[in-house]
Amino acid sequence: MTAHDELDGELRRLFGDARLDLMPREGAEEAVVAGARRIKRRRTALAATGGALAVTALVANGLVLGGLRTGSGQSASPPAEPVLTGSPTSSTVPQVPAPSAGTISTENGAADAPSPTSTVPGSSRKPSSTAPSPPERVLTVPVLGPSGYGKLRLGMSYQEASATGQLADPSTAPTTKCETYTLVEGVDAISGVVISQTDGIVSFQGEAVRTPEGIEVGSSTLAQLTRSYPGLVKGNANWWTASAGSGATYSFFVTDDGTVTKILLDTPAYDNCGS
Amino acid sequence: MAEGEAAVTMTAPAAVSLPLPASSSVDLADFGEFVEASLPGLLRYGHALTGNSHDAADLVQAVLEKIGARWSHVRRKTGDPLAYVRRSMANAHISRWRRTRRENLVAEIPDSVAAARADPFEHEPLWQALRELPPKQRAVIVLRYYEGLSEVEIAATLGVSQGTVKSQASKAIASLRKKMGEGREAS
Repeated sequence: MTAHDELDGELRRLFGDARLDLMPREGAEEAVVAGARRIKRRRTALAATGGALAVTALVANGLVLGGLRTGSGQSASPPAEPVLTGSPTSSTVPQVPAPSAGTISTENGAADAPSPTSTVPGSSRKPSSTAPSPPERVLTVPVLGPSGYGKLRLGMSYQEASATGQLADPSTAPTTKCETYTLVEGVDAISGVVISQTDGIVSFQGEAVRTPEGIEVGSSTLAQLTRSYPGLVKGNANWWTASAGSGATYSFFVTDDGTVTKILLDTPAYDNCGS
Repeated sequence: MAEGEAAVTMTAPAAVSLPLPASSSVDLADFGEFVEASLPGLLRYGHALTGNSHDAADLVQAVLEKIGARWSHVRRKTGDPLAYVRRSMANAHISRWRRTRRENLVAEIPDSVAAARADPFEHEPLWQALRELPPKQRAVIVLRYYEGLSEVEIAATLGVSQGTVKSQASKAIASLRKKMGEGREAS
C-alpha cells in the first residue's frame, strides 16, 4: 500500500513529467483557425441553405491537427513518427514558445469528424437485407438480436441476468456503476456484457455474431452494411451505427479494407457508464 | 516543401465559401494568436486528460475549433479564455468517453503506424493505472493534481456537486492505490 502522501507526490511528479509534452505539428494553428472558420461557415450555410450543404461540409472536414493530413502528402513529418517528447522543460502550462518542427503523433485520427455524425451517401436506399454470405456459415454464427443475446436481454437487472445461467461469474453483482461480465459459453461470440447498477444490461460486445439482418463479423462488408441498414450513420473512426429498433443501437467496426470485425449492441443508458 | 501542400489541404475543404463579415476575420486573427500561444500547453493538458497523444490532439482540435467559431462571444463573456478552453476540454473528454472507448477497443487491431508509435509512459504503472480510471474520475484527478484546483473549483468546472467531486476523487485514489499495490506485489 502506498501512503497517501506518496501517491500524492507521485501524481504530481507524473503530471509534471516533461514527457507529457506534445509538440504541435507545423501548421497546426492554421489548421485550427481554418477549422473554426469552417464551423462558422457551416453555421452560416446551414442558416442560408439548410441541411444538404452542411452535410457535405461535414463529410469534407476531417481532423487536421491530429492527422495533418494524410491524403495531401503533408511531408513535414513521416506519418509513422512516434510522439515527439518536445523540449525537456516546461512542466507548466500555456506559454511554451511557438511550435516548431515538432509533430504530434496521431495519424489515424485523420478521418474522424470531431463531432456529429453524417449520414452515409446512399443511406436512403430501401432495405433489402440480402447478405450474400454463405448460408452454412450464417447458421453457425449466433445472432445478436436487437434486444439481446440468448436469454440475456438489454435492460435486464443483474439478478435477472444471473438467473439465466449465462453469466460466467454470476456470484457478484456490479460493485461499480457498470461492470463487464463474460459468458459461461466463453468469449468467442460475445466478449463482454456490460451491466449497469441502475439500468441493467446496457451493452453486448459481439466478436463472432451476426445480426438478424444478416450482417456477420468477419465476412460482411460495408456495402452489405449500407444495404441492410438504410439508416446507417458514420460514427467516430471506423465505427458505423444503425438503429436496432427497440431504442437500442448497433455499432459496427469496419476495417479500412471494408470488413465488419465487431458488432456492439447498446442502449442509450450505456453512455451513463462513462460518467 | 510541404508547407504549400499543407496550406492547400487546410483551405481545400472550404468548398462552401460564403463571405464572412469583416469583423469575423479580426476575431479569427485574434483567435489565431491565442491558439499559437496556448497550443503546446493545451496539448500537454489534453495528454494528461486523455492518456494518449492521439486522443489529446483530437480533443484539443475539436474543442478549439468550436470555441474559435464563436471567439468574440467567448472573449466577451469569459474573463479567462484559456481557463474556459481547459474546462471545455475536461467536459468534452468526459462526454466523449463512449467514442474514445470504442477506439481503444480496437487498439489491438494491427496497425503499422500505431505500432510504430511508442507510448513514453509505457512502463509507468501509475500512468497505466490512470488510464483505467473512468473518465470523470480521471478528470477529477487531473484537475486536482495537474491543474491544482480545489474541490470547489473542480465542482464548478465540471458542473457537479462538491460531494460528487469528493466521492469521485476518493474512488479514484482508492483504485489507483489498489492498482499500484497490486503492481508492486506482482513484481
